[in-house]
Amino acid sequence: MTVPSPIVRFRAVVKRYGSKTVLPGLDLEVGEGEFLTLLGPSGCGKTTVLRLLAGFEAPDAGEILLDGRPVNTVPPEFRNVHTVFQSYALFPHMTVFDNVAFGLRMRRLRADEIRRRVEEALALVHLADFGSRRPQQLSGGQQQRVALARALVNRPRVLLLDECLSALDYKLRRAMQIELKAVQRQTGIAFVFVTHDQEEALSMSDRVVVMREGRVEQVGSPRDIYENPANLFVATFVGESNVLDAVITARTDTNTYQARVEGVSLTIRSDRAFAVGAAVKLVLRPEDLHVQETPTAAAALTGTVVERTYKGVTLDTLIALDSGHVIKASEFFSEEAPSLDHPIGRRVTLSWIPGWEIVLPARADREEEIA
Amino acid sequence: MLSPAPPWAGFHRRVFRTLTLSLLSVWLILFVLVPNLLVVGLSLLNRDSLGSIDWTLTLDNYRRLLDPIYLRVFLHSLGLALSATLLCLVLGYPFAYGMARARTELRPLLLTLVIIPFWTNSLIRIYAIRGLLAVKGILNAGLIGLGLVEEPLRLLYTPAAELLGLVYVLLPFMILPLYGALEKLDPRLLEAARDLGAGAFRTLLHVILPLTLPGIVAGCLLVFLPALGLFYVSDVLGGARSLLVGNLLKDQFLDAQDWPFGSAASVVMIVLLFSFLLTYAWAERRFSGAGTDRTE
Repeated sequence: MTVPSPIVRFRAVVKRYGSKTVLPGLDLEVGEGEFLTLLGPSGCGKTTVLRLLAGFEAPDAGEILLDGRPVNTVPPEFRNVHTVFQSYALFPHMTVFDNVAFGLRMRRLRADEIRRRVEEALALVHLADFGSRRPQQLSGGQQQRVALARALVNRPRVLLLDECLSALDYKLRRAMQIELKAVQRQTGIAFVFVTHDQEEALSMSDRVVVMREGRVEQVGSPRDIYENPANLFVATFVGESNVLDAVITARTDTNTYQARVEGVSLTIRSDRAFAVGAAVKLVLRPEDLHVQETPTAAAALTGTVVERTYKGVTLDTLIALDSGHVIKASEFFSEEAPSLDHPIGRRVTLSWIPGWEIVLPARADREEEIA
Repeated sequence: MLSPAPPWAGFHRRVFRTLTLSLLSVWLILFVLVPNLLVVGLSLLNRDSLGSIDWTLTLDNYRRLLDPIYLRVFLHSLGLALSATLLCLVLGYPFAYGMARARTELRPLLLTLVIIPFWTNSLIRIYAIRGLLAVKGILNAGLIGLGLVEEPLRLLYTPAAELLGLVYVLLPFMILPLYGALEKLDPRLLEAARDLGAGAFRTLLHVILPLTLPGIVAGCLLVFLPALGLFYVSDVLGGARSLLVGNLLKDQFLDAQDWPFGSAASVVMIVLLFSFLLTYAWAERRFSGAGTDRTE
């Protein structure tokens, strides 16, 4: 993983808390002006990465470079890196203006310069008229924006955002996602965003780093992560997926295989090389599946409808395959498919566009524990 | 379905409220308002040559208070109380900070250590200090034994001894409210301050101190007000020459039997202390909710 002009570079960074190793050896780069998201379940070490970068923690081994300079032991007040905290951590005894001005005052800028930049920052987050309020008088979303302005006003090299949208309700969170992305584009500051919400990660990031137990599982564009997950953990953590066991029975072309999936022989495609007889996992996204009541000529998976859930945009159908495995299909309403409503108990056939299946090696290693 | 409230529920609630409020009012009127009014009334009367009350209204007692002697007593007492308060703050703040940042399981123990001295009467503890400071006391014996001084130092009956006594007796009253304020301080605010470029000192100045101001004011009041009146500390450690406001009041009431004059001095003190309390209430309101209950 190389980035054209990295601002931040983690080289084999190790972090332990007591006897617990949180990061066993992390390599990571943050590029100039990019929106990088650290995505992973709680306890995967993503917040530790942020705290190391902010300077609240020092690594036990390895090196952290900021603009090419090692900063392992540089305290937070001397780093041009600022954080938007999960709890916002706004100073309750100061007005919004004073909160935003805090960093600039610490740098002893001239008063008129401070005023100009604070007003600029407050305008950027649409809080121009809120300077004289106190944080307690603002809504959660507004406090969030103050926290953002307070960090941005210092023009950091890197802005760190620690699960800072998680306290907001769904609608506000969606609005703030769009706003954050817009602010990032406008300012050109590199954002490192930490979240456990895969939807948030996919919709905002230039690159996503999927982490588990202190290790990087995959780095890539949101599309890459979703469509070509590196392993079963990424496939199941990012987005919904149906995971089926399969065995390769023949190789029919360079990337076309014949496989037995849940007792049915199917043609599957993958850029990966598999030996005949290899056990693999077939990952099918619910939204890629078509449910049909008339049996198709081609070999496909068959089963019985066991549950239907109307979701507004989609209709989710749970289907018990003949092998007993229950999988989920999410179908969008459209004019071509007027009858998506399959009654419970109906026999159906499941199909998908050839090649949209994800084939992963079914190693009985770390992926297994979580899948 | 909710069962409808019985018709007498509202009545019971009203009776309960009336009863508790009137009890409280009676208590306050009987034990706070009436005695204070008596003192104010008494301060406006005169004492005849035999020591009994002369029922003519006068401001003489207040005029007598303007005498430089009393001003000196007041200033001396004020200086001592202020020094004691400042010393308690300087000693107590780091201790309370350490206590608030100590491991959770350690805090009850530390808190107990602060409170233990209360189990012994403070007068007895003051006499114990006298034993330490006396010319043939332990401190002098130790200093001579170590060869640091040749002759015993005169430690007792000095302003320093008085200050020591006041600080020793009143320090817990400073520590406890400070601890309360510091414990509520959100450590994430300190991280935010450092993140924004504030070093340790400026974090203290701009974030920690302002956010714990209610605790500081409360602690200072709890030390300063008693420090003006703890007459036995100056009696035991300060000797006959040192008079606190508390000694003055005690002397007027018990020794000189001049109740009107003592009352006038009391009224001045009460007005003074009340203005301090108002300052505290103002600070409390100004910083209300600061740094507390912000768990999301």
